Amino acid sequence: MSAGSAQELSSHPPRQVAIDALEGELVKLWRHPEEAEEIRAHVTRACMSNLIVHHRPAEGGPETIDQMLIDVVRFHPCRILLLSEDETESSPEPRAFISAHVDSSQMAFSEQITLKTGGAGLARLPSIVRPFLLGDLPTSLWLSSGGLIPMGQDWFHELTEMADQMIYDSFIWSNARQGLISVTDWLAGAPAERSAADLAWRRLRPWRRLIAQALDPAAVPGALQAICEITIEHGPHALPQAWLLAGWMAQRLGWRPRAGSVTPGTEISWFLEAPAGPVKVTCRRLQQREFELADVEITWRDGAKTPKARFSHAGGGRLTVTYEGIDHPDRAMAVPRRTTGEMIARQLPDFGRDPWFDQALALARAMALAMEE
Amino acid sequence: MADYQNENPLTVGLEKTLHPQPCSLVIFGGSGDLSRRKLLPALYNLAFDGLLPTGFAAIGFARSEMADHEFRAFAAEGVQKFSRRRYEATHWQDFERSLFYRTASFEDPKSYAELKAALEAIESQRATLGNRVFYLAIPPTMIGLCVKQLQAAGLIYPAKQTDRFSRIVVEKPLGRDLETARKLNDELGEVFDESQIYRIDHYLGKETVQNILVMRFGNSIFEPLWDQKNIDHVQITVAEEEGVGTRAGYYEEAGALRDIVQNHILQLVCMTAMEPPYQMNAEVIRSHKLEVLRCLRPMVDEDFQRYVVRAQYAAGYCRGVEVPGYRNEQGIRPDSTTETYIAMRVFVDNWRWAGVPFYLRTGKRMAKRATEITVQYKTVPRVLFNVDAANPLEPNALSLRIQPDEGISLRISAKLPGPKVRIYPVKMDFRYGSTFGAQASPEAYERLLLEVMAGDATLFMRRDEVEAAWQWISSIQQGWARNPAKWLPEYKAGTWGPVEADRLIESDGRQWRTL
Repeated sequence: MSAGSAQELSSHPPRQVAIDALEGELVKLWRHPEEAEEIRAHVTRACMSNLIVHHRPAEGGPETIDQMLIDVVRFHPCRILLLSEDETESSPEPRAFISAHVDSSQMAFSEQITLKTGGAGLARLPSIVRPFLLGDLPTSLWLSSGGLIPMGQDWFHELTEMADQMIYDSFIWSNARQGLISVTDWLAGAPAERSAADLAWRRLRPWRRLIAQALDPAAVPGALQAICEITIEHGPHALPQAWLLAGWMAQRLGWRPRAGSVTPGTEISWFLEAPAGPVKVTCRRLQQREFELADVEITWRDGAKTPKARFSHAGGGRLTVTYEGIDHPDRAMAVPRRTTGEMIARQLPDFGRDPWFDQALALARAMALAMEE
Repeated sequence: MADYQNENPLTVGLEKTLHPQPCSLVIFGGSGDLSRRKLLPALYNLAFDGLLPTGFAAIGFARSEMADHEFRAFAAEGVQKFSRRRYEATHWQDFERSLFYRTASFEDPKSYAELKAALEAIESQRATLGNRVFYLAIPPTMIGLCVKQLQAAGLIYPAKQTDRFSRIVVEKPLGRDLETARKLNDELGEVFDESQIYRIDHYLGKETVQNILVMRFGNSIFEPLWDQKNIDHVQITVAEEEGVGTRAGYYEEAGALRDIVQNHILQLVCMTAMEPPYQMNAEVIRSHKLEVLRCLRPMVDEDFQRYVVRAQYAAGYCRGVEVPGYRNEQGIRPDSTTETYIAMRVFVDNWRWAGVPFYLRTGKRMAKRATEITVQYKTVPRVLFNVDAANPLEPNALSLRIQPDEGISLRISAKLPGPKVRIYPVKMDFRYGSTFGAQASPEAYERLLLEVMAGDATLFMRRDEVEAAWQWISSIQQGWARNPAKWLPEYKAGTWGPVEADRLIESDGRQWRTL
């Protein structure tokens, strides 16, 4: 038994079982827990969702998939179907493994089915997944590895048909423009009850909250309608997130993109048309920063003056805002530090469409289309 | 074009429910126990989770001599000891900048003038936009004086002022009988509009109490069975394991009736018995609760003989530890007749609940800490599986556990495996802790403080609600006053109460549930 995260949950090593024996092995976990190697005491089952995870082991990040999944079930007990696309698997026949996550009081547990296959076996996976989805529970598909969303793939299409939401992280996209366009295309074609969720958007919430508070009309009258320039400095992989933030502000404040230009590897700029005049938005890439977003500087016109509010990632789980050109106190806000698994767990119950995300995404797409190729 | 002349379009969709406003929170009694154990840790937790408005300040206002830095140290100690979230130096440094302290003499207008000057400086320094919340964590006898002083010092904005707000939060006990409750409400009402007054019953901030409404009205299977046609009786238990502790002075005056029944238990009765509200709106919810209170059948003399039991805990063992009896506790009179336990049968005289007894009980030094509402359904007809009069089927019971181990369970009958038809009661269990994993529920005070900052009074008691509760309680107080007790029955500490309470429910052919 391996120790679980924060010693609250333990995870059992996967045990290989034949695919046609999976059903029986799962039933055995419940009907005869004493016979299942994973559980040696009476347990109370807990399950809130089905979670299908597509993962490529070769693209490992700082957190292993096992760590992330333990964190998911700590916060959101669910049945996990981990689809591991491993090029080292030579046979097209997927191999199945079963494991369980049990908490220290044996009160709750989640079962996990892992299916390993090489690229050739991907087409078979949806047919294996389908019978193992628990009825009456929402289903989410999480694309845990990098690269763009595999829109044209049949297996992906079949999996999304089973899911209420598709979760991805645009932080790991290699091409922000293409990614934004393809997600909005997918959303446009998806039925209204199916949603997309970007973890990068979730991580933007503290930024959005601080910007909204710091420029609130009651605190800084007139600032919002007089914004003339936004500069967003971001880490090397966070262009999609910076873009989403700009899309959100533009959408909420009624701006329309007119033109965009790219300085390869350095920055992207747009000119948008706002009711009170043009707005310039720049997303500037920093090479040596570990951050996602590092700084957001918002400038507005106040007569002849151009005051600024500068929002910064201050380290230690904090965001700060400082002002220039107006007499207003600096402020700080705590940013809850969450692992990827916890972020996923928090996203799973939010499976309905988030209209503000969809609208921000739609405007980000309009910004993408306004750019010079 | 977005309309952002007066509103902030960036806040739309940002918060799922609450939108707390920037404000200064002045804590009267800020150097006291409630402040240290509950309020300051709750504020820190909100800051830690990024939920507190960045334009925020908390000002301790109390008699103890303290400087800002001493108040911050006092708060740090409380946070380290009682906070749900861990103490982190970086976050603490940001948070403690929002903490201030002013020594007060509550009777002295000068203190309020100084508070006003301090607030004006802090409001500018902390960008709280002039909004003010006054939290009165002080004895009720001081409330009238303090609100008048606040008004005299010009610290309160009228309710109709739209660009900034003043709100006041008051803690229980909200009076000690109907007369004192009315007096207290009059004193508050002379200075504040009812819309500015937030009367806290921290039970209403608990997730599981709020879940009562969700369970009843968010599911279609319960409500059709939620009436006198289907329900045999309801039991509500608020059991405390601890004794009177350091609250002897207060408790001697209050007793279990005022301390628990008048507020917490009656609120649970309201949530259980209220009609479906047509909106989750403060006025609607509170009006529906008020209807329940107005339907409570007053106690008459003959009820006291059979259907009201009060008792005191005697010496005994709690989880193996020897504990003294109530009258041997420090600060308690040796001839005290204050009840530490009360059980009663009450009726809600309306169409839905006619004839359904509600059995209520609460006590100190009981076998364990537990709060639970159980709805017991009527038995199935005496045919088919229920023909054996000697072994009747167990009726269905739906239990809502408020604390600890929050959850819902349903007792149903199932067939035992085997060739014969043998019926056995089994329990379907839903536990918050298991289902929602490690997502810690916020403390009641966190939720309630956010509600005050957001201006949502749904979880707070309105004046007429408080007075209706006291009106009903007064029928019990008057009954006791007509027949004063020279002594009370006793129950051993660490048990489920006195034998008289068992007789109360058993005389109706029912039993208390084992929790």
